[in-house]
Parts: sequence; C-alpha cells; structure tokens
Amino acid sequence: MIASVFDTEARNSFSESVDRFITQRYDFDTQRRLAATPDHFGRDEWAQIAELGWQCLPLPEAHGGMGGGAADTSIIMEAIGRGLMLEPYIASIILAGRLVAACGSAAQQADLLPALASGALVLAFAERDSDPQRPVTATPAVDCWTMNGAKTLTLHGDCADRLLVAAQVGDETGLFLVAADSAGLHRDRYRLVDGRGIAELGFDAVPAERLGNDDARAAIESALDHAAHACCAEAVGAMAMLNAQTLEFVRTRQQFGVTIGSFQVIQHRLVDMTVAEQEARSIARAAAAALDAGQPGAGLLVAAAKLRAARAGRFVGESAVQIHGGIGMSSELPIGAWFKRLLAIESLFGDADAQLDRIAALR
Amino acid sequence: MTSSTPFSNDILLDIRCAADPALAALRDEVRAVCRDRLPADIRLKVERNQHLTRDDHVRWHRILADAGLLVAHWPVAHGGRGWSRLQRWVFENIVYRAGSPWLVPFAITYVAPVIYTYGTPEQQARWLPSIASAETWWAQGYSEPNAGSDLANIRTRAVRDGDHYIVSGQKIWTTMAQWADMMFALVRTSDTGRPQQGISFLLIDMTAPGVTVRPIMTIDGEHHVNEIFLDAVRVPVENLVGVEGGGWTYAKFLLGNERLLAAEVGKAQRLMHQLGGYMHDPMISTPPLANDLSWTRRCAELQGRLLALESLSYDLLEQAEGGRDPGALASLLKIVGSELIQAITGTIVDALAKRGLSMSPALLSGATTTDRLPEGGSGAIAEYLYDRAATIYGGSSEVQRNIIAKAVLGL
Repeated sequence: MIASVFDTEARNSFSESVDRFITQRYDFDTQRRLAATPDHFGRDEWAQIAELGWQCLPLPEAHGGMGGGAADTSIIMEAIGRGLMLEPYIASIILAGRLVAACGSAAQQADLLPALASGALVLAFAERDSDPQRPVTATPAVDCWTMNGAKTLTLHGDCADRLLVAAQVGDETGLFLVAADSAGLHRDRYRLVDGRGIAELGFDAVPAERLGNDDARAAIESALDHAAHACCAEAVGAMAMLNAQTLEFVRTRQQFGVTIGSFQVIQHRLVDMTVAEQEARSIARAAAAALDAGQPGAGLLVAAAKLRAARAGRFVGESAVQIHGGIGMSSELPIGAWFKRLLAIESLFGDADAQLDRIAALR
Repeated sequence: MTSSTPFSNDILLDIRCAADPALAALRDEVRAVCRDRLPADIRLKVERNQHLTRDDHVRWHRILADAGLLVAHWPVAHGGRGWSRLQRWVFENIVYRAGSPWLVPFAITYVAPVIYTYGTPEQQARWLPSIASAETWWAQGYSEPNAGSDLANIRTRAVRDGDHYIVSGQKIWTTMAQWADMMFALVRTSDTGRPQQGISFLLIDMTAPGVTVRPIMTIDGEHHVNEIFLDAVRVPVENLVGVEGGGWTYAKFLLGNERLLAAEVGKAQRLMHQLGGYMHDPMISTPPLANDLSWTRRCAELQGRLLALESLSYDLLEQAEGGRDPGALASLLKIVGSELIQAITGTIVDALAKRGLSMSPALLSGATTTDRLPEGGSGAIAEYLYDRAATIYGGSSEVQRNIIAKAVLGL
C-alpha cells in the first residue's frame, strides 16, 4: 500500500532514529531556548538532523538525496509535531527542495540541492502575494531579472539565507532566487502564534536569478500540496502527544477523592479526541499514498486531510487545555505549545475555509 | 433525481485496487452485477428512499446468491469464497453506492457466522443452506424492555423440559420480525454467577405456538420494528447453539461483526449524491443552493468527513485483519459512521426545509401521487427520522464510548 524508499525494517530503524533525536536532543526546554534565538530555530540542530539524513530524504537521488515521497517525509513531520521542532523543514526541503528539483536547471540543481541536503543552505519560499490583485512581477534586466511587489506570510523568510520567490512573468509564473541581503529587499519580521519566524517581503527593483526557464505553476501547486500534507502529518504528531499527555494526566490527577479519569464525561471527551486523531491520521496517510502514486485525485485527499487536521487539531488542542484545567493555561507546560502549533498549522497553506472551497471545486 | 454532480468519487477504493489486483477484480465483478442485474424498480425505490417489501429484498438477495456474492464472506467449506471483512465491506459499499437496498444482515452476516463458528455439523447442515439461498428470513432477538444498552440484563427465560426449552418473555425493537421465519435469541438459562454467564443462544421458530409479533410504528411512520411475546414456546434442545451459558460470548462475537461493517460509506455516498441533486434543484431554491457559499461549504464539510471515515475504515479493517481485537475498532467505526449518516440526512432535511417540510407518507409505499417536494423528498425526511436509531441500535454511541474508554484508553 505504501510506496516508500524504505523496506519495513529500514523504515522502522529510520523512524526510531528520528524518535531518538526528539526524545534525547530536543526536549521542551531546548525548544523554548531555540525559539528565543534570533533565527527562532536551531542552526546546530538543523546540521545535526542533516547528518541523520532528514533533509536528504525527499531530495532527488541524482544530487545525493534518497528520492522519498510524502509517506516517507510523514515520519519526519510527525516527529516534528511531537517534538514541537522549529527548524525550517517544510520551507527549505518540502517546498524549496521540491521546487529546485522540479524547475531548476542542471547547474542550479547541482549548486543548490547538495547545500540543501547538508543543511548548509536554508531557503524560504515566498508564494503568497500581499495583494492578489497586484502580484509580484519579474522583468528581464541585464544579466538578471528585476522583481517588484510584496509577498506575505513567508515561513522562515525572516532568517533564510536565500529566498525563492514566485512571480508573474507575462502570463506565466516563474520562480526566482533572491539573496537575503539584496538592495531593495525589505524584510519585516514577525512570528507565528507558535513562535516560528515569518516575514512580510517588499521588493523594490530587487535583482533576481530565475530558477529554470519554464512556467512553474504546476510545480508550485504540487509543492504546496506536499507542504499542506506535511502540515497534516505534523498535526497528527502534535495531536498524538496532546492525547497521550492528557490521558496520563487524567489517570493521575485527583479531585473529589478520585482520579478525574473515572468521570464518564472526561472519558467520553478523551474518546472523541482519540477518534479525531485517528481520523486525521488515516486521511493524511491516504493523501500521502495518493500523492506518491501520482493519483489525479490526490489534491482532493490533501484538502480533506488538511480540513481534518484543522477540525481535529482545534478540537484536540482546546480539549487538552480544558481537561488539564488551570495547569493547561501555564506556559511552563508544553500543552499550550502543541495547541499553538496546531493553530499555526491550521492557518498555513490554506485554512479550513480554503480547503472546503477546494473540496467543493474538486469533488 | 435532477441534474446533479456526484459529491463523491472512488479515489480511495481505486488507490487500494491499484495495489491489489484481487480487490480490483472484486470491484469490477460487483459493479457489473449491480449494473446488469440490480432490478430497476428496486433501485428506483432505494433512490427515492421508499419502503421495500419482503419480496423486494428476497428478489435481490437471490440474485446476489446466484451471482455467488451473497455469502462470499463465508468460509469456502460452507459455500462462501472466504472473503475478508475488508472485502465484504468493499462489496457492501459498492452495492449501496449503486442503489442496492440495505443487505439485511441478520441471517447472512450475524447468525450464520455464529452457526459455522460455534454450531454442530448438524446445525450447520440444517440452517446454512437456506440462509445462503435466501430462503429463510431471520430476525435478531436481543433487546428487551429492560435490556437495551444493558444487554446482559435480559429476562426472557428458557427452562429445560426433556428434549425442549420452554421459553417465556418479551423481545422488543426486533427489526423486520414481521417477515421472519426464524429468530436467533439471547435467553436466560441461569441466574447464578455474573449476569452474562447465564445467557444462552437459541434458534426459535417464529411459527411455533406461543410466538406473537406486534408491530411498533416508528417516528418515520413506518413498520420496521416489533415487539415479540414468547409464551411458553417449546424450542427443541438441538436449537441451542454452542454450550448453555455461552450466549454472551457468541453475542459479542456477532456484535463485533455487526459494528465492523456499520460504517455504511456507500450509503453515505448515495445520500451525498441526493444532496448534490437538491443543491441544484430549482424546486428547493432559486437561485440554487449551489450558488450559496454557506451551502457549498456545508456540503464540502460532509464530503471531507466522508473521505476521512472511508480512510479510517480501511485502516481499521486492515488492523482487524492483522489480528487486532476488532471489538474496540468496530465501536470506533460505529460512532463515526452513524454520526456522519445523521449529519448528511440532517443537511438534506435543511435543504428540503427551504421549500417547507411537508411529508407525503403514501409516496413511501410507492403510491404514484405527486409530491410537492422534489423527488425523494418525503423519503429523505423519513430516512432522517429513522436514522436517529443509528446511534441507538447495536449499542448506543454512549455505550460505544464507554467501550473505547475501557478497551483502548484503559480508563
């Protein structure tokens, strides 16, 4: 059923290695310390997971990658959700990595992909125009291109080494590489509700290098599907931790002389949280299988999975805080951090309304 | 049905089939039988949510039996094809999607597996052939006035008298018992030990003296269910399945089968198709609901839930095939499936309510009077009303949540 670069044994062993990193090297204190650094993620940790093979997993084999698909990267994304990791895996690998592999010239691929795989280079992908009526444009100039316009909500655009930007070229959409220190580039830095960095980008005659030569619309749509799917797997990991910790809490927390897990109203809420997590996991797996098989209906399943991640994530997150009571409100506990990660995921790559409209259009 | 866009596609099934040639062959075989042999009059009744007669059901069951599909989930030794539960579930969804009536499960999916798993060779030879050929109609005698969700509380008593049990008591909510030749029933044979330990599994002839069937009309205005009074009914001892006192074990085995198939994805797909028709129907709204963002989003929300349920069903059925205890998995599927069917029929009612919720019961019996609602409207309202039972029968949703809390969460 699952298309994978791993056989079962290799998959289990990779999965264990990913888990080991989360449990041994990325506890909640580490996470909070890294969130407070200027980049809002750990450059050292990014290099460490590169050594463990995370970045190279979905990149093409011709450039040192493993050629893995969505089912494979789900292993990593679930772990990122469990460990609340801040590192730019979606931005630099799932989005930029796929786009460079799909659209880059041979020279650009040889230049960029090994650097992405080793973690030496962090790319962010600026897709969303601040004003859809006035998209960012690129016009040819001497030896390069010139970009004008504004992009919004660029994940890790605050600290990426270079930016990959989608822009109108006549009737086509092109992809362009922009150096972070370019003249005419304005970066307003913000943070998502879960602490990850984003940027609002302004382009005022910024020089850029075009990635490949062809219309990139199909490649962008496919990369965004993979990013939306990666969010779903990440949400499943976050929900699994919230459910596990909430279950542990109700088994030990005593009120009125009994554990609160003995109350039927608490039990039924936890059952519904479990059902929500399992539904989100099943539809995310089905969407991964469809993406990896190149099924024409994969977009519909990605939309259904992202919708489920939004609905289930909101329900599980709010319920976990509620059942924990006062302590659930404390920022000393990771409960609220998982809840905020789920909120951030909901808003990225198409919120619930956007997924509903996509389902209505694709059904 | 007015011009409509189907709300569902078969992408999840097709992905499975691409990796599983046997499942693809099954899908194609079942689709062909539905296309070529499902009687048009029966399909039309189903699509209009009209009531079916005993003859309608039997006719279709016999066609499926003739095509080798009715009991394909039985072991080969008993005349089946040894289908897995996943294969049976896929089969059911394809036929429901195609407009098949509910495949009444009491004989083919409930009692037959109990008989071929726990019955004697004599019982198997006596009862299984007439079930496989859809000759005998079976009813399920479980619930009693004081034993609904608390099924272990049954009071119907069977007292041994020579070669017979003398059975006295009352069963209730017995679906389609007005058509039944036989009933499998849980009866109390002992009061010692835990309540579950004194229960036995008996096969009762509905024509035996002392059996009285009284209809109960449900809120949809139809006769689905009955009360059954048992007044000193003599049941031969050879109609005891398994051992005396083993009934609870067999009932749990049976309920696991019942709930695993409870997520009627194919029926949900058919109802979504009906809703899709109403979204474009000028009788319901001009301009049509399909032009209204709040309505397209409501439908898309249901469609998203349906895809999630379908993918969850595949995963859990695979886990059950892999040897995981199906009981808790089945509870999970029953909760999600029944709540989704209720949400879909509830949305259909909301669409019909744009025109006003009239209901013409005569139409449900096939009378050819015209309705002021779009085609299938009265039937859809009846469907909504009757589907309230989906979260009640087979163990209410509250009981399913208790089961999962204990079995999965360990609370």
